Amino acid sequence: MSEESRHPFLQGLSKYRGVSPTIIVIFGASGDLTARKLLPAIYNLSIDNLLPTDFYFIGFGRKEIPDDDFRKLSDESIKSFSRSSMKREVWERIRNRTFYLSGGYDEIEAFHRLNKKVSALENEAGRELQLLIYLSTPPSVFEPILNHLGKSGLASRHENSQNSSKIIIEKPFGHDLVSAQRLNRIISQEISESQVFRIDHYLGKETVQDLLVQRFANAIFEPIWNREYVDCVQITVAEALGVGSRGGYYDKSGALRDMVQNHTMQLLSLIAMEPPVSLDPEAIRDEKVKVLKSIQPLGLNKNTSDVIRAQYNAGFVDGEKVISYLQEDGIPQGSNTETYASLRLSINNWRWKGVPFYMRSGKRMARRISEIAIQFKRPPGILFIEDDRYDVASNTMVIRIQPDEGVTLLLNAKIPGLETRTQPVKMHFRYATTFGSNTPEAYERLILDAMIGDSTLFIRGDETEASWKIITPILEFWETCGNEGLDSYVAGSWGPESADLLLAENSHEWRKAGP
Amino acid sequence: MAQGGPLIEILSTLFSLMTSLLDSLPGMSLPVAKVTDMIAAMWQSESTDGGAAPSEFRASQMNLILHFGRSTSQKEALTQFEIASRFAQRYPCRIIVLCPVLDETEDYQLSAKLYAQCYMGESFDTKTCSESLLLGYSPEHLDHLENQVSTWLESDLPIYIWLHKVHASEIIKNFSGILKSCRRLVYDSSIEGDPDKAVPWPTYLKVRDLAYSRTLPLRQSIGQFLSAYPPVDLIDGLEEVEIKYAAGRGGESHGLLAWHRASLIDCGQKKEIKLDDKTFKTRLLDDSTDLELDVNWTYGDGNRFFHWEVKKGTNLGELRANFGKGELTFPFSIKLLDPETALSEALFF
Repeated sequence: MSEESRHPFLQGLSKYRGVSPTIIVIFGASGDLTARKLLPAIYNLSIDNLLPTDFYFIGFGRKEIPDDDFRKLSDESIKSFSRSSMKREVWERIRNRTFYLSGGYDEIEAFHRLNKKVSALENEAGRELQLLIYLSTPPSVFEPILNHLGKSGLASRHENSQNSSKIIIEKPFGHDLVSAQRLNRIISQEISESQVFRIDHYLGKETVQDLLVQRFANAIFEPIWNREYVDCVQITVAEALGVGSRGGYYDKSGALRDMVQNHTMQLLSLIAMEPPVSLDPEAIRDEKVKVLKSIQPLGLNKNTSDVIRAQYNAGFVDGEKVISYLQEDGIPQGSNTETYASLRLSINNWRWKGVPFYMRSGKRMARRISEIAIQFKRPPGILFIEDDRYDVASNTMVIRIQPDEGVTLLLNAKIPGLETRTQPVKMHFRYATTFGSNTPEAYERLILDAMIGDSTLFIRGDETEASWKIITPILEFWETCGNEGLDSYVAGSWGPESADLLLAENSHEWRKAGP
Repeated sequence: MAQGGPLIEILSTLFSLMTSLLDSLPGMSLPVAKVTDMIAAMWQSESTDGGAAPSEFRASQMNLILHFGRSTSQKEALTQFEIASRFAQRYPCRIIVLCPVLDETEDYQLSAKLYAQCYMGESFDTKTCSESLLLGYSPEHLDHLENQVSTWLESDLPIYIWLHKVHASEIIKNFSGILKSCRRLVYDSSIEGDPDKAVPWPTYLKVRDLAYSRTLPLRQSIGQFLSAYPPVDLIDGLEEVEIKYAAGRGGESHGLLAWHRASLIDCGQKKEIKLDDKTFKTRLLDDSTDLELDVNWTYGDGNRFFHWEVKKGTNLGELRANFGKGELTFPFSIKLLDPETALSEALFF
């Protein structure tokens, strides 16, 4: 909304301070995500004085929980998981306006009850309240919830106005292309795309948002951000943890669905997209979709493939012995679910033709790290031919998403002394050091963005489909292969040897990702 | 002081006169000529124990010049310095504190102190360190100070100035170079006095009032509430807007009144309803009242009204209104921004 079209009493205030009176309803309110992330996020927004004066919170779930018990659970969750300590006077204000409703997701009466409650709160406030609905449930119940939000009229409250209902949907957005298309169809039957906020919390991280700033606010990078200067791009999203208690879920999902289809694809589209015409959400999302559509179909055959999959064996992580994937709780014997996937992608456009984009993601890898490394071509070896005296590295720009967020530039420098010897050196920019570590959590930013209707950091329906178009053929190919081609790696390593060979074909090698 | 009797009071005043502001602030005294070398040595780029080098954690996004005037007291100087230090935890910066030293000798020279702080984040890796350079200067030789200060500013990083009881004309006359490159200059009208007095700051300079910045939560709450009503409904028949304020909140009340006036004039634009300057008033509240700020809008029809108030020392307020659709009452919890947040609001937003 432009400054001219804002109400005179909101002009001069940041858009984040002009939030409409709001009711947040969380479906799946007794779940882990609500306790660990969503409630603390709401509380921290309140601490930062970013919630509207008229704010109500309703938890909705299948379990029967009295209001008071739900408030006590909320107290505990804030004490345990919030980045700011509990301030009674702040929390009390939200606590008194916190309610819980129980009901089945397939029970229309429950949605009518919710609608009545919302209307009653609106009467109490004496003004229109916007409804922000958060689906923090398993994807299997998205369909009945969305249907009933439509039928009960909750989705169409204050339609076509600033206070129209908004719906945040947690990933996964389908498990393949067909299911993603089906989900998009169901959504579009009940609500317009402008009311939908598909959340990938990675996009709420400061460093991911900083990608756009690094690329488009610094003139020195754009001229070399292309096939003329870039040798390859490596995206790593690695976890040191195993599947833990999520074995049952994970075995149906795997690394490709769990991490690559969403987080790593988002990182790739932000790093490879063309400059958008403006910072308007649609302009940015248009460019992201264009990149995904430019990705060439992957080579998938049993001998030479652009994709590697593997499962972790027993090993050591952080000095402790850990079990193999097949020994984890809830994993069926002989499971061929991949805990590691790496891909070699080609983007067929003017900027990137011929530049390989390597992506890898896995569990039980050497360390927890997410980073993007842009490796530049070497200078012509005329002056400093690499030998014992001249250790010349490829200039590399590393954008670390987590942990130790920041940017590192690898340069070559002369070692002090009479003889000319060279050595790679690092220039560091650490986000936490420069800007302090008290930055908002991803969910705080994203919930606030949804409240003000800014969809820049959310995924559009066609983005999910474009991503699944790349991923689904891999899943189908693996299905036909069974266990054949499923490699293994030692827990605590950087992945299987076959993944190294994938890069070696182009004379590249994986970075030892880290600060 | 009341317990000690007149002798202690006199001695204390004498001591206070003999001790300069610089003495009352923390830091290590050093010769001015050594300042640059000492800062470099403090953040050496090599580790002495094999761990992370000090320079790894030293951070700076900007320069903040905190300029005290002749009538700044030691207590005020310490308070302002502590606010700046807390601000630097969130926005690491080089702080340059300018402290007047009342020495009228001809050969007076600058004196310096250096102070550094590190703040731990969630982990050792998120430690942040920054430094403060404190300079004692003679107000009689202010014309030389700008050149000296410029040598200790961090190059290429933005400059912000925070004034405390320094006369604007002295700054305009003696700091023209730094003012040109200064991103923003802040002062506090609740401390500096009558905020309506026009100060001829250069037009290119962005000047912000901390008293106004502190009212952000109030403007946000009131703005969110009023934005639910069509602008013309707010202005039609409006006769008077009065803001009453407790002692020490003069700057806030003037800032809020200016905001009310600008917003209401804007509300009347489409209907060409003109508001007279006489419509807007401020008044000092009696000491006996428990209110800190109290706002009333009066309409000609006698039915409609808008009222909000904030109670002293409680962070509690109440908003009551009737814009023709029945009376609404909202208790709300509100707190003016704390000093370091108000500083960041004034400097950056």
